[in-house]
Amino acid sequence: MLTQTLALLVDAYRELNAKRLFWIVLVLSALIVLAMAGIGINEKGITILWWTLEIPMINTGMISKPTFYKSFLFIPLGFNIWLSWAATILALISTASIIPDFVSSGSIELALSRPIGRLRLFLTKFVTGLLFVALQVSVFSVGAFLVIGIRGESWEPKIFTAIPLALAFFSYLFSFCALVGLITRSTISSLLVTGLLWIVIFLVHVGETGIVLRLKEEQKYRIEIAENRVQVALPKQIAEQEEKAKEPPTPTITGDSPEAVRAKEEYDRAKRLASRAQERVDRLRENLTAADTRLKELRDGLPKFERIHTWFYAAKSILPKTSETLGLLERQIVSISDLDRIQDPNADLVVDEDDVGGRIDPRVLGKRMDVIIRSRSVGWVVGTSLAFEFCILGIAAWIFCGRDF
Amino acid sequence: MTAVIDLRHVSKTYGRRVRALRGISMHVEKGEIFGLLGPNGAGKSTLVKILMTVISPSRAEGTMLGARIGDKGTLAKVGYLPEHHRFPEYLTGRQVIEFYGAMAMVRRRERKAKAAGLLDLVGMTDWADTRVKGYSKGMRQRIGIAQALVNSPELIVLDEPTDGVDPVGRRDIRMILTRLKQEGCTVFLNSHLLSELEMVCDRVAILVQGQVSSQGTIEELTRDQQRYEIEIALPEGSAIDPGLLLPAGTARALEAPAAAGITAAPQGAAGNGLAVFRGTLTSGESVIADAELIRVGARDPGPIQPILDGLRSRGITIKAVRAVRPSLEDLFMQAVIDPVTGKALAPGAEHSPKKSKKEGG
Repeated sequence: MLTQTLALLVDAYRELNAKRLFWIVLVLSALIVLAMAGIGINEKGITILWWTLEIPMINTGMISKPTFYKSFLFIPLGFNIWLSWAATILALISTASIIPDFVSSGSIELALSRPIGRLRLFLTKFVTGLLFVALQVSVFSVGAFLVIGIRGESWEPKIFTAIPLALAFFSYLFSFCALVGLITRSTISSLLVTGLLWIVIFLVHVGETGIVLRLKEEQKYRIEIAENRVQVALPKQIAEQEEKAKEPPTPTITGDSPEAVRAKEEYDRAKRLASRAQERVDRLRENLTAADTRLKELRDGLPKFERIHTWFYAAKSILPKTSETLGLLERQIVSISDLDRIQDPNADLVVDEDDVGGRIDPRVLGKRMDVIIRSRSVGWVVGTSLAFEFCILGIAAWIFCGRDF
Repeated sequence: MTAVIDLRHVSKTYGRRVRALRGISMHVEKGEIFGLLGPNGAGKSTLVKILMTVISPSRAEGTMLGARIGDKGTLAKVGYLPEHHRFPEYLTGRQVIEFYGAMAMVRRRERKAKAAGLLDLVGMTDWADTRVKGYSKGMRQRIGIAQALVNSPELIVLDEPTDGVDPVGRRDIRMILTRLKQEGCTVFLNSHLLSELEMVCDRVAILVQGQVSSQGTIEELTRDQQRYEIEIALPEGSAIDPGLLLPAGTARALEAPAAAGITAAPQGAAGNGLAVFRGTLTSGESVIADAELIRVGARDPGPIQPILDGLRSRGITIKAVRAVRPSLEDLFMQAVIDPVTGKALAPGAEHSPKKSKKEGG
């Protein structure tokens, strides 16, 4: 049994070895790691090789070296762009032909006529298809580990969690690619349909996280601001102004004496102030009424956003979560405390007393979103994605086991 | 003898209408070279693929190497070369043999040793470390045969093994097959090249439209169609009713006489006035005679002796006497020609006609 599995693995490696694209991607990965190693940060700004770009906001006074390498270079550029987009597209192009070639006439007969069960044969072949990404990510992770360790002065063995995460991420797409390749026996079709699925996943992700969740959280945030205005800020102001609007005491000294004249002037001034305060009270009461109406409108509008979000969330729960899967890497190696922008979302809550609608601070909203996304469990992110993959693989295996070739 | 392949009632229907195989029963003995013939679409490859578990049968009874048809474990003892095979082009010939050896559960050391020997056997040692991508069709075929032998199979199934191979290669493959047979290996051969099969096969089966038309040794299949041919030369300028060439009382005509204007000899069998005499000898054998050739359907030379005596006594020159056995091609053609219409049977599997709505389900 092991002999056959090893033979299939060695064969997969030989196939990769023969593909120019595999080596091109590997060289590009190495170049990206080297380029990132050439970038640094010091007390003045960013360094590129031996040059320094003086940037006031980006220096070791503001950002620590490990955070710079992890949060500014490797996570966003290396893993989130290079590995999760560019390298994955190249990996799909490189591996999309594996299943169509495998089931093509003249090839499949040679494989099926061996003493190996169809299910094991198919699943082993599928796993060998992940070798491309496994090797690429391993090389990249070793490079990232060394650069962050040597240049960033922080040894992060957790960076190697990128390997299983990237494999899981790629396997979601590759399982679908394998299914389409098995059905159509066409590399182009499997590539195009997988690309289409990826776009759907991306759109659902953007729709859920980037639009609907944001709108929902924005609505909640506005409600909180409005509640604060209606229940705390405006009543407090009204109370203050009502205090000021009280009728001033009548002056006790009358006559034409200078004291009496001064007292009269004081009284008139206090009366004017009270009158103005009363005007303010009236205006504040109007604001309170308007804010209360606005609060009701906001509260009435929330269920609509929640309902739409539930649909998107349900769709997302069924589909593989590619972005969130790789996002787990950031959770692993960049803690919330590492990220200045992720703090108590209520800390910077800004309430503009005169703004009936409740103006929102985008930074606060961003923090709240980060906290929500980070609160999603690994089980939900990876578990539901793997469930999708197993369903797709199950269908593919069922077709493979029952088909006459 | 032990049956290596014992098939009974093997059927395969694609969908509901295409009946590729219709109750095949076949018997392949240990140590023989068995040939499977048939026109395109007769179901040969389907049958082979069922044996190799590439296709699942609609119905199959029987065994292969003592195990039920479809048993995966048995395939460790079987070598297979499919028709139009495609080996991974990034592998070298040696790697192909070793890879398929590993897939057949051959241990590493053993398959390395076997690969070297097999490369030598198929004459590919010099090309062993060149990628398959650079091979000609014949070279791929040689490597294909080598990979089919890497697990020292008890049964080797070859689908068109000489396809694309030059005459020297074909001779080499024949020699390999003969050697395998001598070593006790059973060979199941599927080929269009009837002359190739005839040279090496002990027994054959002819498949026509998903059914076994005939099966047996070539000797058995041709026994009833053996004949003797007597080639004669009449004296220059003379003409004779072919029926009168036969000694009097030895034959009777099957066809009615007709005025053909042929000069009749004073002695001889009753001529029928045709350019070709068709009849039977008194001993029962069929006879066909014309002015140059007399053909007698006989398994032994006894019945032709009186004819030879009669020809000699009348001074007719006997140029040659030869025993003729029908070729495999003759057998094949007989099998694929519709005896009623005299035309070739339609190629391909049987299609059940669609039922019209009026006929109902």
